[in-house]
This record gives sequence, structure tokens and C-alpha cells, in this order.
Amino acid sequence: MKEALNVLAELVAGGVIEDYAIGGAMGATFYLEPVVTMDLDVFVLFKDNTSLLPLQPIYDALKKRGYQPDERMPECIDIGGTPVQFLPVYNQLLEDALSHAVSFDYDGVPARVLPAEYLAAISVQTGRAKDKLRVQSFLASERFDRKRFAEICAEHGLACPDMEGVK
Amino acid sequence: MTAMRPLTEAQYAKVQGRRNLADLPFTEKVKCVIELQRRLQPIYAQRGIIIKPWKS
Repeated sequence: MKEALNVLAELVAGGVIEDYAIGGAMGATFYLEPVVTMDLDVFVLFKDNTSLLPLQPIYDALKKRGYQPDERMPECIDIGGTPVQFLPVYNQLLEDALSHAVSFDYDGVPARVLPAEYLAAISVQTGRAKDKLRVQSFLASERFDRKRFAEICAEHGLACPDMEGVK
Repeated sequence: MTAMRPLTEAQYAKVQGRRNLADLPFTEKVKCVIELQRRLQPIYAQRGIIIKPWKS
């Protein structure tokens, strides 16, 4: 994990990507109780977002460093024993989420993670069974800003889940 | 309409346990995720799915 975060910071410093933020289950785990996941989802923003193969520069840069696709999950790159799946920012919600990403320190290594309210909104948009469960977990969390979440859903035309007692 | 019953001690402990997990530092949470992966390994192996827990 630490090595993966170091490599992500190097990709930003080297100009390969403009910015990144952890999303998915590990992003949610930053705010909620830990849940099992097998990969680290990383949303990436590029300076040039017109490429048909936006992830190619990342794969090339990682290949030069000796990192290869994960044996069991070829959509991921194995970085120091952590399978990392790179996902380009593909819509306005993700772009906004990334622009609000929060930085934190992971054992001396800088890391960026999507804000909880955006992670929940992305889960609403994705809409799989596991995403709906994740939204419920966020709504049950005391530190979750329900009002902000409702605003994000409204901004992006998402059906905000029932939130009795929203203040 | 029946009145809401208060949480039992066991239910409260479960809720509190989840809150405590959510309050852990991220480094500790990552260790929990890896432990969950380790525990899943034999279950998945029974189904013929090989999973590899992360290196900490």
C-alpha cells in the first residue's frame, strides 16, 4: 500500500498524471469501517484528456519502473503487492469529486482520497447492489454531511436516497 | 403502532464495535482489510478462486 501511494505521488510529480484520488471500497474505508476489497481503485485526471487511450502513459511509466499487470486481475497493476486499478475521470461528478479530494498522511507518505459525500454520490450513480449498501453505510455514519450529499446529488441530477431527518 | 424498542446490550455493542472500527487510523484499517483478505483466501480457494492478500 505504501509503495503504491509513493508511486502515485511520483506519477503526479513526474507529470504523468495531473491529479489522483482513491475511490471505491478503499476510499470508503477511509471514512467507514473496513470492508474487504481486492484492489485499490484510483481515479486519475490527465492534463490531456483527449486521448483515446488515456491510461497508456501510466502503464508505460509503470512498466519502466518494472511494474506489471496483476496475475489474477489483469486490469490492475501490481505495485508492491497491491493491485491498483487506474480509472480515468469520465464524467462531471468524478471531476468535481477529484477537485475536492482530501490529502492525508499514510505512514509518512502523502495520499489523496475522494470526500465521503462524493463517494456516496458516485455510489448512487453507479447503482450496483454493493454501491447501495455503501450509501446506506455512509448515511448511518455520524460524521457524514447529509446536507452536502443531497446538494451534490441535486447538482448532478441523481435521485437522492431517502434521508429521513436531514437537517 | 408499536413503540420502538431500545437496543439490547448485544445490539448496542455491535453498533459500538462498528463505530470503533470506523474511528481507527487508516493504517490500522488497511491492516484490517489485509486480515479480511487472508480470512477469505481459504473460502475462495474452495470455489477454485485464488486470491492474493496484499503486502502490508
